[in-house]
Amino acid sequence: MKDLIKICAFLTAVMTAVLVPMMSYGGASVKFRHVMSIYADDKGLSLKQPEGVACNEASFLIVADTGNGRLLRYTFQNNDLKTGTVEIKVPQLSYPISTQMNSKGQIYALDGKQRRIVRLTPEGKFINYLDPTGLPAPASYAPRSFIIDVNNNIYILDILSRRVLVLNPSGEYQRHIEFPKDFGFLSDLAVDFKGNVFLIDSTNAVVFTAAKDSMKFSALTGKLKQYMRLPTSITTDKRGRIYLVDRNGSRIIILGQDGSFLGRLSGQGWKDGLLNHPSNMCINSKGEVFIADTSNSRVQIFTALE
Amino acid sequence: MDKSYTFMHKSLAKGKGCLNCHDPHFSNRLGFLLKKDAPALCLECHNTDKPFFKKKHMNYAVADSNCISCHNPHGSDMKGILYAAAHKPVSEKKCAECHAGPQSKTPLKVKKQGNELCRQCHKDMMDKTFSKNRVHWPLVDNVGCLNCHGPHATKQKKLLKGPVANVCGTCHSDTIELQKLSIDNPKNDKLCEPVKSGNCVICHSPHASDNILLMSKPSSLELCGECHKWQTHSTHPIGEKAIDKRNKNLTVDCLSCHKSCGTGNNPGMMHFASTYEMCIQCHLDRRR
Repeated sequence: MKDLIKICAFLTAVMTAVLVPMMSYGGASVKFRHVMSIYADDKGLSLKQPEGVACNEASFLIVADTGNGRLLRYTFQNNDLKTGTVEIKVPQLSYPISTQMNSKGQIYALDGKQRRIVRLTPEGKFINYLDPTGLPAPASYAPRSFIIDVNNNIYILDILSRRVLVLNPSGEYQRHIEFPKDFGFLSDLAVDFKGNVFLIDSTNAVVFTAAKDSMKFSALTGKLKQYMRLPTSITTDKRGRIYLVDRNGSRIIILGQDGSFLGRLSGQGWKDGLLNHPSNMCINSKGEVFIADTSNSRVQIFTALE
Repeated sequence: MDKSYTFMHKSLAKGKGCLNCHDPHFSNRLGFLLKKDAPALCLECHNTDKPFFKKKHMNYAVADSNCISCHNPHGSDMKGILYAAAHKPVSEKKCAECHAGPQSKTPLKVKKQGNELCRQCHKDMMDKTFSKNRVHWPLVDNVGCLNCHGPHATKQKKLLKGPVANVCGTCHSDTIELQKLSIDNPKNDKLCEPVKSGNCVICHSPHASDNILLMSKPSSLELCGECHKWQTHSTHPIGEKAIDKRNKNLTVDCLSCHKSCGTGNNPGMMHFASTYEMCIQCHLDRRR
């Protein structure tokens, strides 16, 4: 009888662990299945309040391990991490808060302390700072976030001069898009597979969009405060769906291409599958989802189920 | 309204008193049943073309400015009925420290953008702020310090635009809503004082910090320990050696069970609606 109770308790725990991450609301068209969580590097040094993740089709995952002042490069294949984590620690990058990769595997990271973007080789050697050239007045800028598109163009969310700067892969100014007229605070940007640019207004929970080559943002959604608390990060998938990371709500919000609300995933908690002040999310074309679960000091990996 | 001001607005003692500015029954203005908004209301009595007025405003054309961003419309202990907390360049009439000269084509234009303007005088504070790992992002946007502080004069200490919770709530309305819910919740009779008073800056550093969520101390044990003797709070394992059973990268601290900014309807600022629900997160064998 005791064994039976133990088995039941074990099954309950397993079911909870598996199903909780898939809890969703509002008829979400996508659900997440928890695959695994990353708690440490190969040497066993624990992650500390990671804030950024970057992923690509080559199975590379870069983690901005913010609290430890380093980047970590993992290989995630066949639902598992391969051995050989690369620790990237350079003096020019003391406090990485977000990271990106271009098609050549070069790594970019925004340093939160200096508010400068650092460019590194795929192996993690410092190349240079990404200092945009040829900027029109005002020449000063403050990057809150950045993104790299499929053509390796770099988009910088410049909160000082209220614009999105578009640079070519060499960092030369190409064009800019002025911020919309009315907004609260813009925290992040995304570019979808069509080249449309998206902004997330954290305080008003509004998504803005500018079509490819457009010079103007317009509101894609109204205020979505009823669905989220403080969305601070935005990304898109191969179908153009929009994912918002609700930092204070510890959830992922899913919107359709047209900005319609599709659902919410996960929720606040400490166990695998649940989130605590998540900062950033990356989804690749294979539907692998990586979330910087900041206050839980880990990165969680999910599979997106259609 | 405080009638003990040294300098009262003269219109209070003239004509219809309060009704010079307010309509007792209705108004289509946003606040305070005002007959008109400033500056139109103020200009009914104050002639901006008079040499005295111009001199008092250092010859700046302020006719279109919002008078009550500097002046308390009822009275003040400061000359010129300026709000009690006046920025030094304002009280010393040194407008040109920040603005272009009064004869300039754009006299009210500020000399520098964002926090660079304030850095002219507040260099040490700025250097200290920007030496931290993370700054409060609004500080580096084009509004900078003025996202939270008034440039001229305000009712609040440190030239804040309003009470702390109101200022923080401009962007963090979700957190302030929870805080308000927590105050109204009768189960929360032991609500943490900073939450009860809406004084966010007791626990958070509003400019910059080396810590996550701009906490003023690296650990909640240290932070909460400033007011709470948590060592006497319970004998529950806590601290660096107590690994959180739910997550091996975390140790047990105050935030393992309590939510620092309030939890709305939950008692004792807990993450969950009941103690039982909270405890079984780790003590799985105690599940009923």
